[in-house]
Amino acid sequence: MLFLRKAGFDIYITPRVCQPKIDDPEMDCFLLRAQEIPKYVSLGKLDVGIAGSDWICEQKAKIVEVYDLDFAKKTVGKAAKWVLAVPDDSPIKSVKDLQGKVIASEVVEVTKNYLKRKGVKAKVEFSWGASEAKPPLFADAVVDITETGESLRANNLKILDTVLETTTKLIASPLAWRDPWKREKIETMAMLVYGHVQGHQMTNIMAHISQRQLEDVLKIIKGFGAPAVKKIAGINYYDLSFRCKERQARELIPALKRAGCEGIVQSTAFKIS
Amino acid sequence: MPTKNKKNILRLGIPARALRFQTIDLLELAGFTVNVSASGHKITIDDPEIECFFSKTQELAEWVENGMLDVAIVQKARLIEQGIKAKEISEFKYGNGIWDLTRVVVAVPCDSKFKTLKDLQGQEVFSRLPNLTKKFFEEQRVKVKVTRVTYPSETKAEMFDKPTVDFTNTGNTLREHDLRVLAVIMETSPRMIMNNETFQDKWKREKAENLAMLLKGARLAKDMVGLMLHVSNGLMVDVLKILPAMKKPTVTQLRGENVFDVLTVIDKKQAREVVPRLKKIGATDIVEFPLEKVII
Repeated sequence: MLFLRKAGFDIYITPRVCQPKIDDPEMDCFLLRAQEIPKYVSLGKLDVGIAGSDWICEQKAKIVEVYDLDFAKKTVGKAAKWVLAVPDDSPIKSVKDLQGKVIASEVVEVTKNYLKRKGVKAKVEFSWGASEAKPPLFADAVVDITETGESLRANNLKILDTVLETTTKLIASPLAWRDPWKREKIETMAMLVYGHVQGHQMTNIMAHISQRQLEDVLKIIKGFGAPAVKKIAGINYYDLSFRCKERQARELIPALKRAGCEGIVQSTAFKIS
Repeated sequence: MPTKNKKNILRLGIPARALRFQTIDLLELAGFTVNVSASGHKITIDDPEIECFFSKTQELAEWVENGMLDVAIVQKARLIEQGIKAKEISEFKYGNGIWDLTRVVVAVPCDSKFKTLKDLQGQEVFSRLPNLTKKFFEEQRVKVKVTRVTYPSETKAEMFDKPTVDFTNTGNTLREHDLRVLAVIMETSPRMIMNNETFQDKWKREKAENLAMLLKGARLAKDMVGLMLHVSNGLMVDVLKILPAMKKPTVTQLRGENVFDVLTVIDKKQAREVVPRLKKIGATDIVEFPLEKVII
């Protein structure tokens, strides 16, 4: 939602309403559980959706992946993962020790696939949630999602293996993808959102530089597209304006300052993809 | 335990209490992604060359002095209070809940008989900054007994009906405890300080100065706005008179017309006066836009 807003869409959400308003008459929005989105997208009930790769795998949904957005709940750019965990003092030391045991998980299909890959036969029980609480009493092990590991540590569980790294994907229905109008609409929206998620949004940097130091400064910003260089009337100064990625600004700005730039201003006013 | 002086790593102390949220804000505005652990004690940023560390500023100041940390953001009044020997590399204008200076004040209960500092002669004064307080009263030639108290001092001043010396930002806490300001001892602001020894390390010094530059740039950008407008040739002289610029506004002629595009950066508070004036004399397409960083 935050990223959609940053990408320039106004979204209005009122409590309990699952159909937020968006200021684009060509779009209808629905707030749905991430678990269900892949299913609806694959069936063509939704044209486009944002969902975790875990639920796409779990439901074996047939979709078109438009972008890997790579943001999880707490941290941007750090993948959440489904892990196999057992109590700290469990005799189970590796996945091989799970032969014939019981594993609780919200992602039954993903877990079964994982066990198959490892050549281990075990019973996978569907868990509605709070899986961390289940071992050792209700299950021998769990396959649960973790980002920071805090919840696992709090329940005295240790990680044995990573089952699946999950990232957030922007997915489209194969039906919508074949419709040129819808496809273009999806691609435009996806590009804006993706830019912000990746911190690729462009930022504009302006600075003043004396004629004498202009050459050095142009060397520093070489590779950031063509800078606009304008002579300032009346004095031997130039006005420099160029775009770079948001992330690069924090390295470029000190370098520019050291090279003699004055009045350095960074703004996002001129958003151009 | 951190080993002292790690090579090519800048160890940065961040205030954990009063200056906490605004410091985090500034780090984010400076272009860093900041992560605070669930307990609130651990802070990490997405620069592998900077190791962040939360603590009270009293401790941060001492640890920069003795080299446990390379740099820290610390309240100026604390540096004076503790007689910290370190390099001051930058100062920032913000306080707890405000983007303005913090004041260190002598406050007294609203209904007390104390009207001037002289009235405090012979009194016991609570203080969170006892050294600074003693020096202040000596200079004022008022004899008082200074008693060190810890945060918060306002509750104690109210309950025991005593004058107190403490930091104030919005004045809300003083009001809550029925206290009024009798005198301002000093205005204080956060400073970035660096250990004297690691300041000699070229890499660390440059890293710290770059960080300070970005934080300062982000802070300044909060006070300023960008302004774009179209001005016909005949109006140019008048418009340039109205516009105060950091250097000179950038003026570009629009293609095929006798109209110019003027681009400049001005103080936010000036903007609310300048924009209507520009409009009035005939400037068109005036766009005011927010800035992310301003480095003078």
